[in-house]
Amino acid sequence: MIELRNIEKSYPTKSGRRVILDDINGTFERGHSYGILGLNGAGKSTLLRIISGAEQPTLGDIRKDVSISWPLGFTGSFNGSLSGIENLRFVCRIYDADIDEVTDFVTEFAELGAAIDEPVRTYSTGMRSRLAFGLSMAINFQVYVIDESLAVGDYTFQDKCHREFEARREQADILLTSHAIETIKVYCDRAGVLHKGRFTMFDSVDEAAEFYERVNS
Amino acid sequence: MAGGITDTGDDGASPGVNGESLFDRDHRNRIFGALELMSRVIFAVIMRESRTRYGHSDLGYAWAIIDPLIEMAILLLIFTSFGRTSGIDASLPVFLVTGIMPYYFWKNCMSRAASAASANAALLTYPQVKVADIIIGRTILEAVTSTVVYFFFVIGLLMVMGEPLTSWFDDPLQMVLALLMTGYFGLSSAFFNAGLTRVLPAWGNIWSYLSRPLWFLSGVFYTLEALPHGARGFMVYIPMAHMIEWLRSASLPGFESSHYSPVYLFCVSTIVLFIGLVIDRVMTVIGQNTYDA
Repeated sequence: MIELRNIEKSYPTKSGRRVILDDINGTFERGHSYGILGLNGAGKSTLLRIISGAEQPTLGDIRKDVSISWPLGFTGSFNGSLSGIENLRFVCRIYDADIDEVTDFVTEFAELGAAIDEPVRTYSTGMRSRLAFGLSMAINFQVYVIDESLAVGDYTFQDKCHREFEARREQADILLTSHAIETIKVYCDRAGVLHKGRFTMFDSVDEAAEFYERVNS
Repeated sequence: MAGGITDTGDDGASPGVNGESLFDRDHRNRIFGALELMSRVIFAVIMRESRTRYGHSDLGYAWAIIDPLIEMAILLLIFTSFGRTSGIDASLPVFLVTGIMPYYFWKNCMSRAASAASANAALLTYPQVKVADIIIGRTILEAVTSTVVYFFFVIGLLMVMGEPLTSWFDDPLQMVLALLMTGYFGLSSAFFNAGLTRVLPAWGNIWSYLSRPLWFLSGVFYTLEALPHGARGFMVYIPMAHMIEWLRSASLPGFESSHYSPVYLFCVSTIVLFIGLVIDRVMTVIGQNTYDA
């Protein structure tokens, strides 16, 4: 379970403090996949980074007793001068994952072939994403956090990702942000809406969708 | 070891009823768990940094050794052509190496360990990676590199100039203490510099001007004893001079300085470390978690 209590996030800007998230409360239970609906710039990514632990809230508490992934497909941590394998080793070390197992899984899953030993700077955007995606799937998290979409690589690869997620639905939940209701509907059974810094949680995606359309029309 | 940790947790768990005891054990395990996690992250950072900083080729990492080697050769050439000696009961190369190596270590902590934190800011997306882990990992890497270079010199000077190994080792206990303090000073400096870079973008420029004269004010080329009274009165405030004088006193059999203070070095280190940690904490809380802000 992930529990957010009175989360506030504000950044100092030249024109004073800008509040991104204002008194966010919400509970994310195990066994349910949640969507977070919001327009671009509503603070979805910030909220996701706070939930995944990449960022600290300015105020408030976050309690969690589940392992949460980094935002899926995150390629920013890759060092261009290191090979795919070397970048992968770093992640294995910090998550205490078996390097050989993860290497085998990612090599197969990301379809990188011999390129896995090449420096990441020589990779195409698609290759990078596939590496990042394979890496997050290789480590068993209880909650997978996805920012905006699963749109990684071409259709065949996307299809593979979908199947991989379906296969682990029993053990793993999804936390997905999107501005599009349709995307949320595919993966989630519950959803909340982030609007003007405030967050409202609903028991069903339909209720959330209705609220989302009402406040944004 | 792991068994021992679990036992301690269970002992703490037994007196209470289910709920509390679980919390107790959780709490204890959390401390060990946090330490274990931190060392794992630091190790990962070291492995990664040793690859990225010095590149893939063998020559890449060799630069860490070649660089001070060239500097030494030039200095030796200059000093010997001036007919200079070390001024103490030690050969000139030994004297210079024992000054240059700690200075290099400290300087690299100031520049590289601090910049490693901003260069690797993207790693902070992984919640278990903290700025401190990156700085500590990088400092350890610098310490290891410096030690390797140092032994390179010891062996090299033995083979080329027949410099006996005994000229490098005087008081083992003092050497260990001085080296530990050097490491602590380097680590504190790295935290300090990383912190200042974060709050004062201009600090990088200021530092590059400041660092040049420091090279001459740190007693790398001479002992404090050899200085005129006025200059010495100024230099006793420079912590690097204390570090070098102490290291030389501990390792050179023919040299004993009365111009350094381990306490002073410890205090300066602790103060700059404290400043660095406070800045890190404040910046994290007010929301500038990353360096790009």
